[in-house]
Amino acid sequence: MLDKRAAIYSSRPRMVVFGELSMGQSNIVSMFYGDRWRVHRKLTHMGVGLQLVRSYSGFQNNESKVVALEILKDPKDYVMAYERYAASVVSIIGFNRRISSKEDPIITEVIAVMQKAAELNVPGKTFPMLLETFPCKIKSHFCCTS
Amino acid sequence: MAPWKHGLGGGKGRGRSFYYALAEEAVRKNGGETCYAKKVFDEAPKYGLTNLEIASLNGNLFGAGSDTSSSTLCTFTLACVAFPDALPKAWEELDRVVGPYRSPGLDDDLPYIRAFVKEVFRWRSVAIIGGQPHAPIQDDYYKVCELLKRSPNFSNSVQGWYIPKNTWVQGNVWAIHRSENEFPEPDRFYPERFFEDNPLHRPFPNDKGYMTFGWGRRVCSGQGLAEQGTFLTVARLLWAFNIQKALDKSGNEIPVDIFDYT
Repeated sequence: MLDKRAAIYSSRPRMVVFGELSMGQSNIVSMFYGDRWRVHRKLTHMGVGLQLVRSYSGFQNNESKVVALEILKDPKDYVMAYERYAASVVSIIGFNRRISSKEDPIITEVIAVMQKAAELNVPGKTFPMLLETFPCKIKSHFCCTS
Repeated sequence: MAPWKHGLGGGKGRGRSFYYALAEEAVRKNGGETCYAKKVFDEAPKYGLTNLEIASLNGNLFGAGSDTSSSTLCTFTLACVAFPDALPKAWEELDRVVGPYRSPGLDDDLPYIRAFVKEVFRWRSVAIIGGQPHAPIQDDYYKVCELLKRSPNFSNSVQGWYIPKNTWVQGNVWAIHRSENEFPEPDRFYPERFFEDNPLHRPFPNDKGYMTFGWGRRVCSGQGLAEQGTFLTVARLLWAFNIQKALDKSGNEIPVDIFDYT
């Protein structure tokens, strides 16, 4: 259904915290389906579209060699080796900037932002995710105060 | 104040200022060099992109591309440790095709390693309930089951499941990938299941054999990049290492629990 009726099923439901209060309608991830979404999809393809991916294989391959080297040097820290690799590949695509060390501040900041995003993405019993169940107060209270 | 909002870029949020600053710095420092941040800034006037939109486009590279790819490699590691039987066949193929003097690359013909990567994507997928929910832009009806149609009481006024506009719809990737019909012995990490002549092979609605990257027009934009990178790294690590369970002080293997993993 999500595939075969994609023309119908490509929007997002109302997501109070993720879709309205955080990046909301400025981010393709939480954006409703429509013209603005199509603009963002096009712009996203300009970064990671299939025709470009092959041209990234050179540095992607090099970064993957670094993973093997790091695991050879410090096998216990393999998770960090994976995280550095993955972040470095997208950092090169985005900013022409390698992340050569596990201590690079970008890594720690990215992990912090992702952690926050994951928390805000799951409806829950505690504030702020309670807003997903009781959205009534948002506009009246929180938007004025921040 | 609402400090919990600052993580993602509402107002002066951390994600927004951080990613915008990174993009802005990259363009300022690199000048003419092409990177994605540069492209976004070049396109910004044409589409009237706000700073928040610029931040989100650049930030999504990390949001969607870093944690997911590294988690997939963690899954790969767990699979190697939990299912050592899958490894000798990989080594045999890598020794035969690649040999010891160089590590594998994209152009190597490595069907078992390709299947290994597919099985990593299937066995423990990153977005276990299909990532972000979809929603229909109009009311829709999902099919009436065939059994019901054959019933003598069936009336044509029955239109199936009514799904109102804006309903929260998820594809349950965990259930799909663990369905016995498509993937017999679903919790077993078994790359050979992707070979058509294997007894555990079953047809799947798409050629890839998994739904890890989502559906329809919202399918992951970075799928090609992720598949390429995962292949390169999985192939290389299999080529270079014998990944085994950790040993305790007396030299016994410490068991792993494939269900105690998120």
